[in-house]
Amino acid sequence: MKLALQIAFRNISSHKRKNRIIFAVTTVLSFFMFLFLAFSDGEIENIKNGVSSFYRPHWDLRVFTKEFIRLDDRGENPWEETILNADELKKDLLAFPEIKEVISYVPANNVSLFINGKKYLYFSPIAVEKNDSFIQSKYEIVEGNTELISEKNTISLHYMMKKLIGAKIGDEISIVGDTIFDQVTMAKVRVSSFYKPYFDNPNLASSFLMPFEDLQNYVGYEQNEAPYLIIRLQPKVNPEKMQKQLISWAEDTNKELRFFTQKTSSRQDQWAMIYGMIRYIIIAMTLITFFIAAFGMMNVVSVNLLERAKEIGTYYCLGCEKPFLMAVYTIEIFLVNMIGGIAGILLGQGARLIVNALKITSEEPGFQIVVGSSVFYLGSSLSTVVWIIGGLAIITILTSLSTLGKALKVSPVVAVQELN
Amino acid sequence: MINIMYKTLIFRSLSRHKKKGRRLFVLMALCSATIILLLSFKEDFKRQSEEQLVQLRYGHLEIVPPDSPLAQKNLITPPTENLSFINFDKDFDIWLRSLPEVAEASPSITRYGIAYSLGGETESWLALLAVDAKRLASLLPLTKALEGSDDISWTEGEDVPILRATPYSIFGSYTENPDIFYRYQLRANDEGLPQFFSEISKDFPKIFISPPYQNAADDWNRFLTEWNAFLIKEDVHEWLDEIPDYFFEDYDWKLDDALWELRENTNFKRKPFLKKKVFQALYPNDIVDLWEPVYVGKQVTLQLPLINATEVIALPVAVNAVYTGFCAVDPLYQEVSFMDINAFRYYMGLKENEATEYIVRLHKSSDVEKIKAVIEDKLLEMGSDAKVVDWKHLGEMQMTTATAFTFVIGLLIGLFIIIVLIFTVNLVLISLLQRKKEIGTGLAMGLSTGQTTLLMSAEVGLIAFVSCLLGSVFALVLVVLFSKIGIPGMVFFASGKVFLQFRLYPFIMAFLILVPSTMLVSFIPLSQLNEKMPVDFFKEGK
Amino acid sequence: MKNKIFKTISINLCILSVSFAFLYGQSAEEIIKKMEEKMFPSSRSEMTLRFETKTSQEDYVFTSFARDTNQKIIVRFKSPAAMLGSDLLMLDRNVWLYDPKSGREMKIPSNQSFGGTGFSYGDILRLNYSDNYTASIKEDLGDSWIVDLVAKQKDAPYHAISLEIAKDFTPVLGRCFTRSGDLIKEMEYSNSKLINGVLKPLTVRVTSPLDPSEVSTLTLVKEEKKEYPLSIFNKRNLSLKMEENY
Repeated sequence: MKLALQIAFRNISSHKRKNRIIFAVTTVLSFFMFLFLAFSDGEIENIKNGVSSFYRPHWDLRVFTKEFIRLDDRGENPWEETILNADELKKDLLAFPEIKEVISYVPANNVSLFINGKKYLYFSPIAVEKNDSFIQSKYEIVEGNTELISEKNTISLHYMMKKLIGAKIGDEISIVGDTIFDQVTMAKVRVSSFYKPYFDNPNLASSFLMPFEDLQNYVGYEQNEAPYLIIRLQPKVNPEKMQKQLISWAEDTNKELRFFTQKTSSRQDQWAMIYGMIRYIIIAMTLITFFIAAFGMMNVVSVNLLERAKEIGTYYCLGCEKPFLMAVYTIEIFLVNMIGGIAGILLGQGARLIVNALKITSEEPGFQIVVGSSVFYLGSSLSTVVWIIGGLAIITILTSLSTLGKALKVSPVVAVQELN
Repeated sequence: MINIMYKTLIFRSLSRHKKKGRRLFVLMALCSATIILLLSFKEDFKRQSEEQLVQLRYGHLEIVPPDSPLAQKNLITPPTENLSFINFDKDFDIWLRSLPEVAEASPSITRYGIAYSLGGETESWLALLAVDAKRLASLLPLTKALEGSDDISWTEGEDVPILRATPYSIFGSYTENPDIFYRYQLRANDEGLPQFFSEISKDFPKIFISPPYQNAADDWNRFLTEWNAFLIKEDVHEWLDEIPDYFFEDYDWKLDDALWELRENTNFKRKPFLKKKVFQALYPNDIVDLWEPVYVGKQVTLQLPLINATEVIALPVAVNAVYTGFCAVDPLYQEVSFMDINAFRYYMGLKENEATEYIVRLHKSSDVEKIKAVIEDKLLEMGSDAKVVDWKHLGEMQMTTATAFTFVIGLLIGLFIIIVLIFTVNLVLISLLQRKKEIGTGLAMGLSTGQTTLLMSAEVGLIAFVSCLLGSVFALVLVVLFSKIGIPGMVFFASGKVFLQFRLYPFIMAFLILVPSTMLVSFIPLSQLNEKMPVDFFKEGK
Repeated sequence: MKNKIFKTISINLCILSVSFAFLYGQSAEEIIKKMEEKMFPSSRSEMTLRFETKTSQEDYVFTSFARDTNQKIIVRFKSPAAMLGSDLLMLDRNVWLYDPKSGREMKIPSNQSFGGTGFSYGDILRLNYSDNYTASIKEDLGDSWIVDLVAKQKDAPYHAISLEIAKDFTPVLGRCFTRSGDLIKEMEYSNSKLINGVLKPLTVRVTSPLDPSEVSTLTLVKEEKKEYPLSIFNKRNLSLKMEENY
């Protein structure tokens, strides 16, 4: 294998001109494919950082009572089976050095807002807890009191509401809706500020931020009560390992709790699903492109090898076997493709950095739906690189299978013949 | 004479160098097929997006009150509880529908309601669009029923038919059979299950005919089979009379209600569920609360909030309704159910011509601007301050996805063309090297470099043309296939698929793009010929 | 003589202490129960409801059929005409509204408001305290107790109620609180009169700090003690009106 590699490298450097075209094509292909997949990565990142952060904030593990899960599995209403001593449990969990944050979660139904004599429908309250660094990193206060969480009975409206419903700082608003126990609930609050998500999305326009304790009361829970807790781990901590540790800790301390990781949870983020499907469409288009490009590659490689018949004859004269030569030339094709692919990826990364540095933003809902948020962002993920490398590997396999067989049918005598 | 010479030379070269050009031929054929498919996909994605918007929800134009949320510049303005109305008389309606460009028009009312099952339990929240029942099919053709009937005509005294948004959407589906019991509907864990088996089988020996059921794992299937077989049986009253007396020692209103509902029921579709409800009332600690499923023919009570209520204790309006059918929904946006506007006006006490908007669908999208202007002039003439909004404004968010796809596909097509052109240049370059003696001979025999360039370029053009032809045939087969089965994975559409349609335009475009461009780029390497003398082609080396 | 005085004093002290023991020995639950027995006997009652705002006034008349200290109630509206037939049933904290036009029942939350106002069905149907709330005595004011009531379940009409109950087991003032401790309703009892041989307040005035201009006044006009069978308290009776046979 080492010899095959050595020969392949030497061939590449000797036949630079011949490999130029393959290099050019794979570079162009990889560059564009990278950009397409980066666009899709960007959409998914935007959704994760934007609308999903607010409605389904990031978590590594979730903690429920066993009874909650039992009821949920049976299709019964589980929301009364809460963790009653949430604060104490949080303290116990935070004693684990691997755990960075523990946040209470409360669900909320849509509410109506009475403001300036009108009743507006379909608003969503979002709780902001003091210790929740995640959600607080997803928005900025553009007007009004930045100290949202220390003020009771206040809310922060989306900044678009200034224009859309004429809300102002200090406006008194009545919020009317149902608790999750089907009780009508009302609250009188004041607009203390307007917020703007860093990754805005039309679906966030009708959301408002509320101090966690206020929302907890509003939806029907006690102060120290939560239907479940969200655990965020320190970087590089394996959630599955942590899950096992917590399960045995709960058993040892007789706590009727269940722990779920993302992998063991059946709940899906609808937005992630939609943009995930878009990604699959883009990947399918990418693979088709690679497949078609393979035909061109085959042509180039077969012509290249035809011209190197003398070289091949020489290898046979020196005692090389066909399988060895197949390996050599396959490695050569693969390496050229990879070099082109890596060059394309690097160029793509460069383009990505330039585009991201431009910080292209828009308040247009259509734009935000397409790119996933108000910021046009090209993302980067390992899977993108894997797909591109995989695509190039497909090209390599197709090329070597279709061309090498014939191209290596050369007599050793060719080594010493005059060629036309 | 010269033409014949060219033809002869071209065809002879091509047949001589068949093998060399084969892969490029295949590449171009695949490229042209892909270009055709991508162009078709782009057009059909856009078409289906527009159709879904226009034919399932908004029509091409809507006439709305000036303060309607639909008239706002920004469509993310939250809606209000209060409604604003427009009121156009029959003359306006006749005038509008008589316009030759108008396929159909109807007043409509957008509202929401809450559906309750006959037992009084909340079933679902519904976004409603009340339209003229006779015009629904022609106004919004995509509301054709997926299941049941799309006839929502209402007669006073009857249940109001509702064409309900299908509950079987891409993000949620009813996969269970609501007429039978499932394991998860029993509260007992595996250890406690045999006790429940024993209890219920003693109470109902005619149903559970093969006791004992001692082992949860082994006997569960047999138990369940017998139970579910009973649920779907026709007879009702005999069984009710055989319920053991001890259940009636203390009055239980839930049991009373469940039994009464079952006895009074005349809808055979409800029977199994109502039987389940009786069991649930008999064993409330063992069987979970049951939710009545949604099905075609289900009778519901539709609670509609009052519009602009003035009394304090103003109770919502309750309407007897029935799900006459299920219609498609836009998977990513609000699901809408349909009812007869006459029924809505009757129950809500509205005037005859009151509506929250007028929906107008045209025969062709291209007439939108024209008809919009015509309607605006008419409204001005009538002294109305109503506004006219078009589907592009109303569907701004939905259509941007189509635009994004157009852009991506455009880029992909560009990429394919670049690949083809690169390989074409490469092929011509290699041809020059491999056929240098032939070229030199031709030049020596009197062909000019220009003629040689033209010949070789024509060869490339012919390869491109023929490969496009083959690619077109291949693409045509795929277009026909995908017009029947659709391209799956399209979450944007109710069907989850894009159905391609045959158009000449992508086929012509493929030719127009590939043939001239490949011929043009072939000139690049061929331009070297101008610098060479015939003798150069006979020298050894490159 | 001294012995006689001592004996008298001791006996009186005993009687007093027994009385005190009787009074102070009452648990909060017992107080609430006695109050409910007094205020909400199984009966047929005629009631009026007046709702006043700054600009308007509306009057409603209805009959209620109750048993088990308001755990089971049927309410039938007699006026205005628009309300005729729109009857209510409360059973085990479930509330159903009957619509005469459709002939159907709809389950509604007991705290659902009428027409978007602060007034709720639960206020009409009258709270059942012992069933919904856990009681404790907060203070003894001499002629009344302040009893704190906390909801047993999350779907109780109010989260907490502070109820002032007079020593004759009649309510004086009720204050309803949200989970956050905000006052959401005040219920003032007045107009004590003898009815069926029992002296009790016939009027309750409900106000809300959320909208001080709105006042609801519920008045008991007539009360006839009657034990209705359990079998009339069910959903189908909303249309059948079987209570008229008793």
